[in-house]
Amino acid sequence: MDEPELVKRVQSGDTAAFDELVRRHSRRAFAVAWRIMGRREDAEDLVQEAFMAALNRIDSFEPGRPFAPWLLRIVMNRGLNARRARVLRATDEIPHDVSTGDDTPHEDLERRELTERLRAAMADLPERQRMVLQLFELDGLSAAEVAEVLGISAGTVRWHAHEGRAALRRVLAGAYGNPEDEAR
Amino acid sequence: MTDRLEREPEIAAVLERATRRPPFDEVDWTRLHARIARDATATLARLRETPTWWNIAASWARPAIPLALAAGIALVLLVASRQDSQPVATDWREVDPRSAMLGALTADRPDTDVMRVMFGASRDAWVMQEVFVVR
Repeated sequence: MDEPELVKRVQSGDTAAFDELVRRHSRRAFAVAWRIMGRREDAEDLVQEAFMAALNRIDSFEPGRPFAPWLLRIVMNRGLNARRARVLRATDEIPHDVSTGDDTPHEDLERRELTERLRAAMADLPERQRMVLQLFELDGLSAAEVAEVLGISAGTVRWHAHEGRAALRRVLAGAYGNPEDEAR
Repeated sequence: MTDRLEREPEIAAVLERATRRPPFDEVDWTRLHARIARDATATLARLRETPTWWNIAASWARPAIPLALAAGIALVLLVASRQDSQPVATDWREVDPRSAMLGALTADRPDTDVMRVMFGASRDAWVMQEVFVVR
């Protein structure tokens, strides 16, 4: 069943259609929720809360529109509000162990250091810039969908992506023997 | 910066490295879906009771189309019939002076209309009758 038809059925109160909509979108919603909240339990609660909020407003949703950006925007807004309330930082939860297991102790140390620097660079990015990069590069949303999720223009999405990538490239350049680029 | 935003695999790899992969495997999806479904029960029941606008529109469409058609035909007939009949003024104040004058000249209107339009409804109608020769 295509998505507009599914949404129409949910708008009519069809339980099976709602279950299907949840199955289709819960994984992506969880990924975004987890990046905001940093804890699995919190992310699960946020996904549940977002689906309920979406369902409560489903009668105002136009079935022809893509559902995912609308849902993810709810996840994003509620997540950021919840996180502000709980004073959590998503990056606090990032583990230190990113070793592949095949490295020598020296390579392993270098890898850890690079990961630390990348993580610090990501943490230093403005929240919106970080979200643009994650939604676009990791979650596979289009620029237009990212714009809808974050409630900004496509031009602003491009600008944030450009700035965020430039910041990460500076870290990489510094790690691979071009320290003056990093110092800029 | 171009107008299109292209994906950069190198950046994606860096991001994968800098941000931990969401713990999809740790989530009990069946339980999470069941929780959401349980919470949604009351709202879905409300939605079943409240028809959506297109359902209302669809239910009205079948009787509304012939009714609208009939009303349109009736309106056309009404307009056509009103165009055929000449409006007749019942009050001297509604009479247009020019049409009254023209009417009087072509003998379509009584002279009293002309008198009333020009001088108002005089109580001394007999004076008017003396001044004008009333047919």
